[in-house]
Amino acid sequence: MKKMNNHIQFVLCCLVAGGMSLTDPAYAAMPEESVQQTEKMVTVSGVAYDAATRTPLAGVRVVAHGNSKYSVMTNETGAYTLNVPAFVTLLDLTAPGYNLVQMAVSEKAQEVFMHSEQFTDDYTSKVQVADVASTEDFSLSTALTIDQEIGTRLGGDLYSITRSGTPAMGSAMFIGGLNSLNANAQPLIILDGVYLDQQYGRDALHEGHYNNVLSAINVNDIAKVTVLKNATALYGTKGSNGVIIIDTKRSTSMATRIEANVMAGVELMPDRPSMMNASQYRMYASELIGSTGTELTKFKFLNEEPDYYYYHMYHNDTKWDEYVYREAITQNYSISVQGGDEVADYNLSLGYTGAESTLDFNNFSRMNLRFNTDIKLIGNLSTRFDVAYNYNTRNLRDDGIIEDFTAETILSPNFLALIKAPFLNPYRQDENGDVTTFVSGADDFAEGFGLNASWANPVAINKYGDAKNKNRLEYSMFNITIAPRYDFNSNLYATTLFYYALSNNNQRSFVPMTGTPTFYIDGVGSSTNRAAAFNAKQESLFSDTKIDWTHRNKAHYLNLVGGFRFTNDNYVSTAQEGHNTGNDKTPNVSGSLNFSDVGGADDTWRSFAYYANADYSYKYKYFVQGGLSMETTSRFGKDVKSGIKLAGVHWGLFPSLQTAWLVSSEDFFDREKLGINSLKLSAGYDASGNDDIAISASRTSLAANRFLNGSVGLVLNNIGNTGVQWETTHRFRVGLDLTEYNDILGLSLNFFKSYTNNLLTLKSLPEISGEDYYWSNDGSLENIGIDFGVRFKLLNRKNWKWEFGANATAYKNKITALPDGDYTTKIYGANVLTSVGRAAGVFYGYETDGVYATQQEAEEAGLTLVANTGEVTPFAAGDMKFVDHVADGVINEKDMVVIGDPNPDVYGNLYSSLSYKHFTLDMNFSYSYGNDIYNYQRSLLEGGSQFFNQTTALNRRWIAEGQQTDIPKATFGDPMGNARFSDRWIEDGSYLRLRSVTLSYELPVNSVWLQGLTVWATANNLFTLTNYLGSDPEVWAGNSVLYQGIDRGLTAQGRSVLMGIKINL
Amino acid sequence: MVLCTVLGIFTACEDMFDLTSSSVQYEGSHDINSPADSLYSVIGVLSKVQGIADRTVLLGELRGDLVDENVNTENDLREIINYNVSPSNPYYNYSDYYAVINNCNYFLSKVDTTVLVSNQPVLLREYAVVKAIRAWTYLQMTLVYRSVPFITEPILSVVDAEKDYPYYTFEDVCDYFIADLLPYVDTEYPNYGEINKIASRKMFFPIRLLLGDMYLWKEDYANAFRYYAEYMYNEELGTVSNGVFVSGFNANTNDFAGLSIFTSTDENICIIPMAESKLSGTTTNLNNIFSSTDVNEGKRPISPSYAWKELAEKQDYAYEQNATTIRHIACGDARAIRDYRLYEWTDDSYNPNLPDEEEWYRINVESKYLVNYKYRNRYPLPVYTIGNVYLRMAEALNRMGDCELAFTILKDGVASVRIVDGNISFMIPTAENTGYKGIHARGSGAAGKNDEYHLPTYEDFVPSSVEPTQMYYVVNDTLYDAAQGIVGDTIVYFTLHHSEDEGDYGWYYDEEWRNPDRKKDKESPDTLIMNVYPKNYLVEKVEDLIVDEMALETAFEGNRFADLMRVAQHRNDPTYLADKVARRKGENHPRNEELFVRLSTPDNWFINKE
Repeated sequence: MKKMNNHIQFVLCCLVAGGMSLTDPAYAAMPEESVQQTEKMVTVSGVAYDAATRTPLAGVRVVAHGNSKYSVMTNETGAYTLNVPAFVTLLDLTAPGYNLVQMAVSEKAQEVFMHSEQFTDDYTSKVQVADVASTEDFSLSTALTIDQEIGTRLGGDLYSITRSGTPAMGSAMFIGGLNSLNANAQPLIILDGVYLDQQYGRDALHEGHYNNVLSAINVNDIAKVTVLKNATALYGTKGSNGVIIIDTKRSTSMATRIEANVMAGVELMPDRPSMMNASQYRMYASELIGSTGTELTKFKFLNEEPDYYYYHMYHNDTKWDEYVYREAITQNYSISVQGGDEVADYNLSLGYTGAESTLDFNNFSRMNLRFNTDIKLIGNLSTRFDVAYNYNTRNLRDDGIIEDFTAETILSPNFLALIKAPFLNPYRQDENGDVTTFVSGADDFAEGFGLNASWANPVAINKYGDAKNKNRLEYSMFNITIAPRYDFNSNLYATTLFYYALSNNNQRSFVPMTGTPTFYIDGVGSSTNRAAAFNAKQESLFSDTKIDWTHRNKAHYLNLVGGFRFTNDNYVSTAQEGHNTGNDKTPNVSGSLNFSDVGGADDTWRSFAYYANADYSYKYKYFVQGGLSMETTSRFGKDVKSGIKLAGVHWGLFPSLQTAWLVSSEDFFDREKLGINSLKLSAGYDASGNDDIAISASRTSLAANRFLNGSVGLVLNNIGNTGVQWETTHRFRVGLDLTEYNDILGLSLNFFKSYTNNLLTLKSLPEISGEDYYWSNDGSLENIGIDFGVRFKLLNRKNWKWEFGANATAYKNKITALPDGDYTTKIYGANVLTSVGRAAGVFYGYETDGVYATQQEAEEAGLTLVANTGEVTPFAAGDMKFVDHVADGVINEKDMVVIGDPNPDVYGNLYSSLSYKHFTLDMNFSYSYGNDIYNYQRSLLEGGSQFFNQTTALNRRWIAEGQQTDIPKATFGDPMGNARFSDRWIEDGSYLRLRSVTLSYELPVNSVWLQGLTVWATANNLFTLTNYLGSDPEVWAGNSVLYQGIDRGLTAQGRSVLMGIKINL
Repeated sequence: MVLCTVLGIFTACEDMFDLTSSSVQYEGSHDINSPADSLYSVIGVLSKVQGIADRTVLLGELRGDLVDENVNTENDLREIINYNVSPSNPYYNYSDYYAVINNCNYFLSKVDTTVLVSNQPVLLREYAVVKAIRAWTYLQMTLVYRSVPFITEPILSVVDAEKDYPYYTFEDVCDYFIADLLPYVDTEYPNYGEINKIASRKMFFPIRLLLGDMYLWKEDYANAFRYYAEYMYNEELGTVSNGVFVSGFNANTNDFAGLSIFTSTDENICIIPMAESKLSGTTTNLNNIFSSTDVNEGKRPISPSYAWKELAEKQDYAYEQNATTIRHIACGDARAIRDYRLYEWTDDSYNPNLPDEEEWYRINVESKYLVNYKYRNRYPLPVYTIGNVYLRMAEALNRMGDCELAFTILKDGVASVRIVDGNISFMIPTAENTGYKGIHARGSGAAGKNDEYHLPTYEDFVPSSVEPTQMYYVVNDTLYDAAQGIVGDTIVYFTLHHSEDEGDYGWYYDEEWRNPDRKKDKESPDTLIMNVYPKNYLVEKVEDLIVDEMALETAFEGNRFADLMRVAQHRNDPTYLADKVARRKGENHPRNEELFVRLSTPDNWFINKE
């Protein structure tokens, strides 16, 4: 066998080597000169106009597309005449200050209207065959991370959800629907040609926090972002969710250029729910106490005598949120210097970002350095050499609401600020009621009602949790890239890229004793405070070697690329925590603390891929792009059934075929008559994979299992599935792009349908294995959708220019097969249903129909609740009317139905760009329509079952027989489940948000030392139209698919106003 | 250069993806060939045993007659109590047992028993430990599921897991493991010292006791007795403090010196140690099931049954003040009462200030399962205690026909087996042997431990100073020192009447003592109604006493279903179990006829998964 492998290796090597040594034998026989002499020539002519002034434009360069030797400039009258061979069907027209125009060759004289570069490009220098969107120039961006900006600009090309209002948390993004259930469904991110692992499923010490890897890049350093929505086969087992390519700035000319950006601004406090005031809450709380059936009558907070010793303590009217939120300052400074000489081109950039969060004590700061160079070595040998380093720090506190209130006490200041009793004061008072500087302790008024019915003082958490060794994150990333390249000739080059990155993530978390309750952790013990530390290191090696050959011959254009790619990643983390440190001055974790716990990961994964791509076009009218990659990774099992086996390992094969037809270049196409400048039809198919398989899913492994205090034993912890493999997404697409009316109207339309099979799903193991689940490839899903883009040049005058554009994507996701049938997953109290025939992530719960106003009404309905002890309790007046779908008189899980779908019907963005002379006003809207949100926060703030302060909606709660209302009675502990997961908490999450408005003014300077000066001001999130009752309709609970559309009360985005200056020297 | 890279990468492909990790160990690269490896693995197996501790207790008790449902009982537990466990019930799933078995099988297949350290086959010790754990686990599982897939090789792949394996019944499992364990009966177990302050040896299942159990199930009573007895001998199994079962009674002060039975771990021969917190291992949740705690908000889902309460209530304590006077000092079984003083019965006065009945027993069960109470900070669940070994040994002896000896064990306790003058002899423990004579092996010549085996008879226990015909004991199923007889509902007066014909022993059974008024006016019996009963009657009578003592002594520890099932088997009468269980609601409730009928068919005793 070994011998045979060697044999195969040899053959493959020959193939690869043979491919590399190709020196166009087929075409060598036909030298270009001879072709030209015999070629039939045609004469094309026309006049180029400035589209704004409609005056002829001189100096426009007219070039045969792909054949730069046939070119001419327009004369003073804008006219041009050019002899081109008959196979030339497309001309490129370019002029400084104007966008590129591509025009089909015609025998008739043409009028061409050139649009100012202030407008969006209508054409790309290379005709796009696949569905691609891109954006560039981020110098005026106020985003702290690029994903946020991608959401703003390309919100129609991908579904983007801002994770929270915490600075630089970024966005979750999904392209073309949801292409996985349990594996990652977010796109692959490629930074300067290198895969950037997003660490999606990795731990974080603080609730509601995710260490956004993209926060390591300063947006000002980025030159261009490209979103590949299909044709991602070349990315093998990582391409199935689409690809985002981020290119940082490189020097493009030898001239030395300096760009400096300064930005500063303020973010206002976000919207918060309207909570009850002290007297409303006091009434609510006493009503709750009444519902407990307690015989106690004396409660300090209910004593209304002003000389009562505890009167002041329980007679305040505190707006707790004002103690935890604030207006936040953001600042960003960056400078880049680029230039070069015969030896090297370079771009050096340096930046600092400081961003406060509106939720106090969550500051973010970033220092970044990036040095990109292109060095000419000897002869045709050159290399790219890049180094980048960044260092982020954050203060952190828990954000949002935890899932399990029995696991730990509530520590997030923003949620505490909502639920704290308003009659309490964050600071202690003396006997006269005067407020002191000592912070108040945890609540004591509800003690006895529940095991842990005491909540922390958020002011204490902030104050006593604040130190460099307490609640802090440090994230650094260093990377270095070397990519030598050898140009054999102008058509053939080989390059190999080596990349190494080291990232370090150190986190500390500390819960102070002061102001927090002693918490009884079920099965563990009583915790007075907690210290935790987390350290993670990821080392990534990436190598990409390829050979690129381009050949043009008359009507034929061919580009062949072939290469191989290697990745190696190692992620090592350790996490430790301990409780009861004894005081707030020693936040260090040590083994001597109570309930100490350690955990960690040591994951290594590798992949190796071969890929090849061929781009062919005939006359630049017919385009074919074929790609194929084969990839193997360490995550696959040893007995994979799909793909091929070679060199002892299994390889996934991923083909792609994309075609396009520039119909407008056809002779029969009468562009003038139709008013269409260009029309392109395209169609394609590609397959790509997803190898986000649990690291050891394929292997039977043993791990340490805790036995008794301090002792551990080794046990089997996984039964490997040696057949586990990648998920495969097959994607079909047909598309249309056209521009009309002298490019005033641009339009694109794509239909796509994708099928994902071999879904990675947890499958039940037979009981005799002693383990519960294994990862298996079973089940499938599909997405069908349409994306649509339109842009209008509404106004194009000499001084006035106005463009308006809109993008929309609609998709329907459907699960088509599951191995073990339907199942629900409990997430933040929600039941998320995974069911064949439905979309991923749908909410499955009870339907409600108002509140029983009278006892008679309740009795007539005759519905009951049967506890799992068998106890039967009838619903009564003031309870919710749940719909008894299975009409058996009992409200139980059989009555659950699908009550919401977090997938939007349509999402996208709208933009407007209006300029007058040197002023530009840009507006970016984004919207989502038809998506449902489960408002977990509201279910707690309007549940009416705990001593949490409630929203003012609870003032409408049912209190008396006959009262017509939509809010049920308040009952401690909610025995009837009125606050259960039901359509009460499912809301329409549709919104239209004005994400940003930017007014900029470019000073008309033109001196030797100052080449440009732009001053600008941006307002973000000025308004949001939505019926959603939460603070922010962009909600995020986790990166995985099933966590979509759940509002766990993370810090909402506030309105912000920022101003900046961009200086070009 | 590129060519080389390509070649190089291809050759390395297969190995290139054989990655390692410090957080997990991959099966293919794991060996067990040193004491350190095996220690690590044995502790791993023990950590998996923790995973079946709670369910062993629950499935053992809830199917018995000592506990019952209440209004807080959730369906999962209610289904066990009512013998109708549905497939959605978590206890229907036996994966946790196989987690133990698979890890045992893995260890047994991987361990290199030939490794010698200081010329000792050190890994053989662990090999025996793991074999015993596997046997115990299969026994527990077949007691619940009757017949289960029998696997002795590790399942290391999904393919293995999906194969079909033969089903073994309880009897098959006994046969297999008797043969499997016998070769290791003398293999010394390893000693890891203390783990979390618990002697590690207590965490291993003694092979002799497992053999005793299995022989008892197979009704090979002589062998059952033999292995129990050998174990006691080898381990010099002593009794705790002042008594075998109820300890701490001080006859001089009429006080119990605290109910140390509920607080001592010394009686535990073999335990499953549970972790103190979830962070340090698997914890027990039994306290929240059997006791009222903050976590269950005072609503424990399982109560002691009325049958158990009534049984406990009928127990009277007495001690013999002199040869003819018996003095009552309390009523009811002390093990059901935490604070006995409330119920103290003295000569002249009886304190009727009984609290609410439920409260009375609530306190008791809490004291057994409230982790901080019984086991302090050690949280073990008992598998073998001195009590249940004695009682099972008595059960075996009784069925062998030595019902008097069995009764004596029940009454007095027999502690260790010693060699006296080269012969095996059973000794009354020093603390309890006043007035008794030692037992010597019968037969001629020197008796070896293994060949000439002698079982003592009642006469070996007769105090030498007392004429047999005049001797009587006032006893009941709670056992005391000789001087401390206990009077109970099933009171039996024995005179150790020695007849010429072997087997014709007299029982003097005082029906009068069944009279509830006895508490007030009977301090000592004046008259004895003497009857002679046939031997099989005696066997059943003593067995009844043993079963009742098991109920009191080992209550709520998970033994009950097995005890009842075993006795029903001995008697070849499934209705024995059916009747007990159907009457668990006590005398004031009619027998649950539906349950009785159903349980009269042994197939219905089990969760049937086939």
